[in-house]
Amino acid sequence: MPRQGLGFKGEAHMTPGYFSLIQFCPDPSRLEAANIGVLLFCPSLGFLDVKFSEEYSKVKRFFGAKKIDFELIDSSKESLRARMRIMRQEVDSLEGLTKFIDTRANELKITKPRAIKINEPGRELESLYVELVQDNIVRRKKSNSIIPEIDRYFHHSSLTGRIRYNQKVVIPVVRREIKIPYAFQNGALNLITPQKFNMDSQGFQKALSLACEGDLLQKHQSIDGYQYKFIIIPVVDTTLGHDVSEEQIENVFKHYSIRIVKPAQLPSFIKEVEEIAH
Amino acid sequence: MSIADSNPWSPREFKRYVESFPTSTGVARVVTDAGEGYLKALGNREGPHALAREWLGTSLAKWIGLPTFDFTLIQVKSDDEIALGNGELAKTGTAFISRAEKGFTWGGDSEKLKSVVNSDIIPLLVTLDTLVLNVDRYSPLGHTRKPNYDNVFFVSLDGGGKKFRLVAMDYTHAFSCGTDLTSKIENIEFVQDKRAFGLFPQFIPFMNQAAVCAAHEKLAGLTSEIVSPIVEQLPDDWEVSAMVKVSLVKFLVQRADFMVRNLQNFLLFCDNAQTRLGI
Repeated sequence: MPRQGLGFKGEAHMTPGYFSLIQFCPDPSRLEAANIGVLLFCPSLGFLDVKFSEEYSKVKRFFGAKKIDFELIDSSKESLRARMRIMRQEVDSLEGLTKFIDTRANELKITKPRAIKINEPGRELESLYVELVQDNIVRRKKSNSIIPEIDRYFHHSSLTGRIRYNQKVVIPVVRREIKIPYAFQNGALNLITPQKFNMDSQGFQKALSLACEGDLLQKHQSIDGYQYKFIIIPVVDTTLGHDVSEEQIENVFKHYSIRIVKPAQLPSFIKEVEEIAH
Repeated sequence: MSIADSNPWSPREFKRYVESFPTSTGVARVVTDAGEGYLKALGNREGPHALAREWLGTSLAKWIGLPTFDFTLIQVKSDDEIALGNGELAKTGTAFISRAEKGFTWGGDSEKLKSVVNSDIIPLLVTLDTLVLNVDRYSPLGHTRKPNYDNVFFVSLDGGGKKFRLVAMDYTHAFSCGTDLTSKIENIEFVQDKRAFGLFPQFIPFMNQAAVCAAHEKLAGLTSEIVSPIVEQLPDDWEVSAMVKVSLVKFLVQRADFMVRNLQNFLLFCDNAQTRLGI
């Protein structure tokens, strides 16, 4: 079967695969570790990908925040992601993956692969992450704050490897670091933010604030030389407030030349991302 | 004073085993009286010459000005129970040990190289790999060996942060492609091998003319007076014969000389490589 590269489409039957946990283990003598990611490998489908936790609440609880170099963990994760991109073309057997896993000598450890039957790899990776890695405490908070319907679009298997989650960026001029839920690279770094807006002055203020931040990002390059594009997915709650119209909120973003993708436009937007993201 | 003696890290005793890895030398992480280190010992799958190659390569890396892990020799005693990655126990005798440092191996991405504070050493790294015919980082044209990103290591800077330091590591496959060192090393085909070793495509943008010339200028200072003491430090139990030691000295001096004389061709090669990349 030809290699599927970063994504996988179709095939509803169950296929054998393997998964491993990725653990942060700061002291190999103690062998105490916190799960911070999961790896999924399906050789017959050419699927190999990792999903990491983007926050460190569990690591902080386990090991104490002061002792941990979080930048090092971030960089180690980035390197492992980059290695996965290379390994997708090279590794086509459990033996090859195991050899790689067994030779990891630093703070990120990967457990021995375990067998799993997979329906759709992208979704399975996501499920494994939720089940085995995601911090229970954070999970409760997440269900209140994230917009699940929109989140499902950006975790679709067709976008595996193309979307970055919780991308940290520093807003120029004000130098404030923020986390953008979804981002993809295409020449520019496209930053996608879904946001709920009430139809009142509070919602309007929020729109203004976001629009200004987006404008600053679009006008200035990042320190790494990236051009930014800011994309807003406005989710307007028409049941809350009535002083401000949906059109007014949209006009704020239009004034700052910020692209709006309405929730109803998400299917076609996702298709666009599939084609242009790398 | 040996190159190893000139660094401050001096473990003398094995205290505790931590873990080992199924690499070619079955390297083991151990706790010593001076902290943790990675130990390559006798009894490894590749044989004692793997340790000799590691010692020579790392010593030359230090000489040429490349950052290395602190390293030294340590004695494995008869009651030291150190499991190597091949399932065997380390044998009694001299072992090579390097200090464990926080960091991570390269993912192969060009972006990560931008986070390095000492990317100026890349031409030096390539020059040394070429000098010692190191096939186990990025092997040259005509070689089927895959790129080994695990042999490019990023060490955290003191105080943490997003910047890292690139470190030269692992020379166990230098000189003789993982086989035993012999006097054949001084044969002309090895001395005058024109290929570039260790030159990842991602390194090419860093191979600017000035830096390459500076690296070769350093090579011009590689004389037998520099090389002989390094070679002489090879412990007897690593079984490198006197004859092979003589050949190693000859090889290194002659090869360094050849590389200096071949500099223009090498610069042209780098230039063409950069042109192909659109740099």
